[in-house]
Amino acid sequence: MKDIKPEMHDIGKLIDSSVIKHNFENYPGNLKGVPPIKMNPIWEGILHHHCTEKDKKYPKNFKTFVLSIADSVASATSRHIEVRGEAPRYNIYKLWNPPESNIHELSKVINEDTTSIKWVGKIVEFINRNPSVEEFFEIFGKYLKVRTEDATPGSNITSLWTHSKLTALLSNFLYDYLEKVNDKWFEIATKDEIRDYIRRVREDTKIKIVKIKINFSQHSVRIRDLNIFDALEEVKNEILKEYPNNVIFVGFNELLLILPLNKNLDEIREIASKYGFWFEYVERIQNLNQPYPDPDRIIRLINKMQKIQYKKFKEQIAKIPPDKRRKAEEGIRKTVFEKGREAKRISELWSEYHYELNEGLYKKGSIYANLPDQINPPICEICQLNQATEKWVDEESGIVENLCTSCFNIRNRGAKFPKLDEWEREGANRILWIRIGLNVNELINVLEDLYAEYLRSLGVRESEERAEIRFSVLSEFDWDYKEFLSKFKEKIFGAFGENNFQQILGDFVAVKIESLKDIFTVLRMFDDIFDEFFPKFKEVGSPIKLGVVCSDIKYPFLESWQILSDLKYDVHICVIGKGEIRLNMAQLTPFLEIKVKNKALLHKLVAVSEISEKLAEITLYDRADRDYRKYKPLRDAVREFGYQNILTYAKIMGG
Amino acid sequence: MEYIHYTFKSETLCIGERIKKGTFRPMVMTIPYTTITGALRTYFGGGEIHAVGWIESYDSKDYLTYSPRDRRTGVSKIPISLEFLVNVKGHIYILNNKETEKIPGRFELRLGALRVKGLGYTQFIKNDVVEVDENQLEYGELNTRIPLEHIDKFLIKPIKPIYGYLLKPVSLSKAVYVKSLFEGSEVFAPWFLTKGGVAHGHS
Repeated sequence: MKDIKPEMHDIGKLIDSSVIKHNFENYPGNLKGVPPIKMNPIWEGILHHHCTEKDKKYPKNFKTFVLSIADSVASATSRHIEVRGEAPRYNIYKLWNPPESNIHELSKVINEDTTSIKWVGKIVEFINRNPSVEEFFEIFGKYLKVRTEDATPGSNITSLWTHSKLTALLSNFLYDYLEKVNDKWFEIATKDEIRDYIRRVREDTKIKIVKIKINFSQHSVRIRDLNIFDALEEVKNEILKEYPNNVIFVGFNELLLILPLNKNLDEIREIASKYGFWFEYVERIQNLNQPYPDPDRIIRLINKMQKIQYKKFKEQIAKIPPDKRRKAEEGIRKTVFEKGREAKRISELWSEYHYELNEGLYKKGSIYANLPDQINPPICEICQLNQATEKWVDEESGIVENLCTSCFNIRNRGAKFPKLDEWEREGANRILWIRIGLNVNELINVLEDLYAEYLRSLGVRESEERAEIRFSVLSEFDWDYKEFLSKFKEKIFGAFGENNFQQILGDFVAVKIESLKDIFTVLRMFDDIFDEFFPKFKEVGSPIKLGVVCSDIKYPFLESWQILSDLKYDVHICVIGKGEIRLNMAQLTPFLEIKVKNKALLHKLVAVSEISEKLAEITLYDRADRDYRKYKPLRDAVREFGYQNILTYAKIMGG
Repeated sequence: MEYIHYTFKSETLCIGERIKKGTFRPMVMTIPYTTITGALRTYFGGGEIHAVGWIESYDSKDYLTYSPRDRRTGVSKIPISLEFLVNVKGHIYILNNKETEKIPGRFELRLGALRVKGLGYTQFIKNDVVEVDENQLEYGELNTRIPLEHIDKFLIKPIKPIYGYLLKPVSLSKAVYVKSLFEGSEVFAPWFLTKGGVAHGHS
């Protein structure tokens, strides 16, 4: 498949379709002075990757046949959305960051005259010289990133860039997976026969979508134990190397893979267990024409329905006068949880769940290295899963720890994060552990809702049912998410300087700070960049979470990690010894805009809270207190964000 | 299967994780089978007591630093900080059988670690007897720790297990670690053993 270079199959979409069709089947048509096509494998892919009724050219060998299938699987929608009376939209409607306006002319989107002979000639000559994939992305990447894969309104939710990359990955995967068909058959088969075969392959081919979550049983307490994150990165890289055509998405410790039916997870187990890691997996057998990126789809939908039920229940209860609520509660509970639309759907989903489980279509579990039923002491003090066979003696304290070989090796790697070591030696005052997390299930829920909202705005009927999120949308999101992480990291690096910044993973950094107020510097940077990349998430709920733990450098990392490893709130700030701030993403900007000019008041509030937090709360509302009026901004803030959040805010600003 | 449900209160409770890394020992945030079963067997005697439990709430975490002494040399080792919980409320479920039905409705015993330092004084009050059959199991995250050899007694069917090891005494002076199911495992189990059991209005 390599010679066909599937990445370039849709390069024709950079030319205005009124001039030439994107598969070049009518080239050169009426165009004068354009170079002729010099056939090579890339041109074969471009010319023959479609096979609809109206296409004159269609797959003529097994490779272009595979490309044709990969192209449809990698598309953003199943192409059934019809919006009448709407002009094409060539710019991308990113569900999380929609454009201000729709652009109906391709030339305006990519800033080139896409109808000109010069532009067409440039593209043809480029392909004629059989360029490399790298060259393609280098020269045309900027256009691919802004041009949507499908300009049909409602389908314009992914870029040509994402589509090109995903088509290549799927082509390589399918080329190895599908049953080979002799090229001679394509020479004699009619277009209808080939179309029918493509349809059958798409409908009948089963694939396995697997989500794995790598876990480490090692509990990091010391700075040296943070080597575990380095090892995690290595595990992910090894899997990517082993499965170059299968990994659709990589998160902090999650990977989404597309696998052949007969492929088990033994190799991943081998890789993970080398480091003493284990992983959870969920796998679902799906048809090739249903490329849903969440194998745990049914459980996700059940959870989603339950959330809707609880929301409805709360809303209905809130409408009842307080004195009558108790009486009405049982009735509302029954209506919502037993009779409502969601209750019916939940019951259907459970039936689907049990059916898929019984039929072996759905499976989940955890995979460990061989764990014995019994271990004779001593057990490894770090992972607690193996017998300790090594002894680690701490040079400073002389403490002896019993470790297993995997944990001993990780500990023995030496200082992988030199600045943390340095700060510890310097006796740094405070450190911020900053981690950004992404909840993929929540992401798909939110994207489904946003997509339904977009389709509704176009007047599409049954928008909820049609708003299916496929691989391509997840990949599109992934590009933006990575850029977002990298920009956030750059900003922090710029603000705190090289000496005070240590990257641990792409989404996990540590910063040495001088003042607690630096926490707000981090929050402001995060908020600005979040608004730039994901403004829609502030409206419907954010699958992206920010966790910040501020502690003394000697404070056990294990405690900080308990908060950071499972980020439950959109924004969670934990200042050890002072308190916590928990906000949803929509609250972040207004929270950062709280203005209390009188710093002495904050000091007073903090001082009172040290005696009793409750007393501090009473003080705020005590009309006899001489500062009662001055406390008004804080009282307003308490109403909006809650007392605990404001008290921690006061401790950070005034303590 | 029938289980006797007790609620408990403890002013200070310390059930230490085995990880300690020399100077810090965090708290297990549930009541493992081995902890509660061991305590009940020691207190009431009898070998057919099987119980599990979980923590419903606590007011705060606190730390106690102490320096264990080597009994042979009388020399103190390096101090370690132990995490413990303050004002803990929780639930235990005891498999109902001839031995356990004799356990009184109210009793007090010391649970967990650092009992000699005054921690772990816990009062138990019988709530009710819960009957569960295989058709009533709920899907969710397990909220306790239990050796694999005992999961059948509590009708736990692992779907996505998280494994760990619990210490099981085999004689007065010897113990082994046995493979166990840990909290967070996805399971089908009686409602009271999945996260949020009581909070979801089942009791």
